[in-house]
Amino acid sequence: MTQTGAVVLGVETSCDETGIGIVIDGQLRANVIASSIDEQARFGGVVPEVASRAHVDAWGPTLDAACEQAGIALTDVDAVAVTAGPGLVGALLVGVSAAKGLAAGLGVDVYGVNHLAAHIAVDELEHGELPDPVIALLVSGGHSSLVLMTADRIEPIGQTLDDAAGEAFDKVARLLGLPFPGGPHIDRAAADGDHAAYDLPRALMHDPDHLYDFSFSGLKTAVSRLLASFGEEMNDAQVRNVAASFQEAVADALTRKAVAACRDKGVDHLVLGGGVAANSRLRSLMEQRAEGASLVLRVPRPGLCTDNGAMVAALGSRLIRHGVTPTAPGFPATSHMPVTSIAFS
Amino acid sequence: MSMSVLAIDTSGSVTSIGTGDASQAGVMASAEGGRRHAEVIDGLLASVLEKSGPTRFDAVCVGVGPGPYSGLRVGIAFGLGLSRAWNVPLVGMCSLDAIAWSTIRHASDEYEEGFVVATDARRNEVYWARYNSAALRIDGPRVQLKSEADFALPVISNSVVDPAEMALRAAQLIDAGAQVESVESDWVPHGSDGSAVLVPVGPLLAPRPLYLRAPDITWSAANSPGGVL
Ligand SMILES: [Zn+2]
Repeated sequence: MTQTGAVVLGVETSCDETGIGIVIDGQLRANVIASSIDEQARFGGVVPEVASRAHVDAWGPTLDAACEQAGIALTDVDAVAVTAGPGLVGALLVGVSAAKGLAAGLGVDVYGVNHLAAHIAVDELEHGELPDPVIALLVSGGHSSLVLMTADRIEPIGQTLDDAAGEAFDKVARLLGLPFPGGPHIDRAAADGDHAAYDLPRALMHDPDHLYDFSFSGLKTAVSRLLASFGEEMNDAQVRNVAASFQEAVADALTRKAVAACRDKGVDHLVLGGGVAANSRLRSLMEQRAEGASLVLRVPRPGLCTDNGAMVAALGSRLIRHGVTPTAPGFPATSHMPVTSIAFS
Repeated sequence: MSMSVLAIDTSGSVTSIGTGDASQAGVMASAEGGRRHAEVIDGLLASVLEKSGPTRFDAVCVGVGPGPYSGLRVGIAFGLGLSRAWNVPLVGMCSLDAIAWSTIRHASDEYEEGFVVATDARRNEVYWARYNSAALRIDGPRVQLKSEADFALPVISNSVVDPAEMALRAAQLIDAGAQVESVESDWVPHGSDGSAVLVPVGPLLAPRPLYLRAPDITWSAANSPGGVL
């Protein structure tokens, strides 16, 4: 396969989105997502077995739609990249197996890749090649991580000790009587609220053992106590103010630690990714603080921040550009990808 | 010209791939691997293709269980990818049917009254289906407590799918014009309460696991893909 012009198909099934993306010569050509989120909403969260079932049914139609969007035939594909972890193992197994079958049938290389690295690499589709190294803050319903990525490895710097950021949004939304998924609803409610109305805790801000780690369970408990203090009825203004204050506490902790990590590691490029990157307050505070610290902030557009196949194709494309050897047969789907691997070798 | 079929089964702890056409079973390869179906399946395909030589397959057949869902989905998804790449149809077959079929092929005189194929469903339960002497399924598949299962017929248990025979059977069915029977997405489990059941009667099924049990809703893992990283 030539380095330029490579047609890379990316498969993502680590959680509840079935994503297939196609990147040709480093350019995004297709990004199709089928989500079981409506089904999951009935349960108020992602149920692994429900997600796995949905992936099997959605995979074929998603693949067809992606090829049509890109205007290619499957026989044009030069390489397949697939999320091998981290994620829900039952869900990952569907994507990995389908990708292996597809690659074997086409007789092309396959790359089993790290989901978190894909969240970072996707920004190359929008803002060009990433420098080496780069630090990324990845926040979603499934992960809250600070990672440092170089050309050939990914190093965890910090992570949540309990709930993921998106999970905290879901739980607080439930407390406020807002629908699942909580992120967009809290963002909307917070737009008309006062983020200084209530002083909610930011955890681990001065703990030398957890300089770059996060914790959101105490914040959720504080919100719960605050709501209890309101008594029976919660009025709309209170909902808006709690939403804004909660969102401020999350954004404050995330952005402070991301900027501190860049400063301490001497890295001047910061990528913000994951579904929670769509949160308006997180974005604006991140922009403000990155500018204050003279960092270059890169944020993919919201459609590329949430889990999707394009990010996996983007990472595959990057690996090919860097001459990385394709993954050998026999690689697993694993809930915990070896933390330093960008791709299985 | 007969159809050439590649068949895949992951309904138990064994992952197996085989080939066949309407006149004969071809080659096969299998690996015992507990929950490692996804890890061994690509290597098994390579060894089957090496044994079969350059062959063009006209269809892919996947065993749809019953069996543990994660394992089943590995075989089905792998078949899905292969069939798209080869641009050929993908069909499902009840894995118990494949066992019944090869049982009759090799011992046709012993089961005049019919027989039952049963496999371990864990939780003290069995998956089973009842067949007539021609290996046509007349009841099931169902899941039932072992203690309550009483068939009054010979029971074939501890048997695994031979994927080459599955390929042979699928090729015959496709040649005979069998239609793929779709299975509703809201599969109704064969509850012990005798509530409404949905039984796939046809020999060729949609490529989707036979979900004989509703999803377990476990909250512990619900929102934490990958845990902390
Ligand atoms: Zn993600």
